[in-house]
Amino acid sequence: MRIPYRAYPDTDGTVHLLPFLRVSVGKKRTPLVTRVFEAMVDSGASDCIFQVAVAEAIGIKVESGTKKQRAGIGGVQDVWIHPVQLHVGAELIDINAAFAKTLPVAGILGRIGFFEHFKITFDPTGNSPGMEIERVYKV
Amino acid sequence: MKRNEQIDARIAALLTAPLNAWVALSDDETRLVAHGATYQDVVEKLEKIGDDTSIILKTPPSWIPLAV
Repeated sequence: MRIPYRAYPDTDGTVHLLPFLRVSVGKKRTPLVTRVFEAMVDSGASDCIFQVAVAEAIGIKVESGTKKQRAGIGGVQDVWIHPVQLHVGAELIDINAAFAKTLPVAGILGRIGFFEHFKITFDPTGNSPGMEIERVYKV
Repeated sequence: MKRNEQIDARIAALLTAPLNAWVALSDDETRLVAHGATYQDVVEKLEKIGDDTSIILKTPPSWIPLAV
């Protein structure tokens, strides 16, 4: 399935086409699931990180999770790990996600929890930049 | 609507959205449907108008290129 990159503005008037994907997050063993939101596909991120608000929306008390730290270009910040279900289109995957109080986007889809389940081919070339996404099933 | 027109409409919608906020774009991503300080604010506004198809985004503190 090919997903077109999503357009984001820049202060200098240019437009950036970026690999964002529509996902939602569900609480395990419950029917609770977030609304669909855009998350950035980031092969440089170690795991999947979402805003704390995403967890709160499905009734997860964030600070009850395992506290860890993650380093990014903005520095080191605390995150809390919770088992959740990641909805990507029709696919539903059990993952351990990190929840952070400060992120510039709603969520980041990283290697653990996302790239280990999907083969992603980034293609920013041509007139229609986008990514190919294919579910991978491990045996 | 052609892809370029859709991109232009999405950019225009995002530029009208508040920064460092939560926003909802229409399913075709061409209109700003709701915005609020929190995710829950936006969800409540969508529920109030019976909208179950819009896409939620978090806007950054500034529209500068992302490096997370």
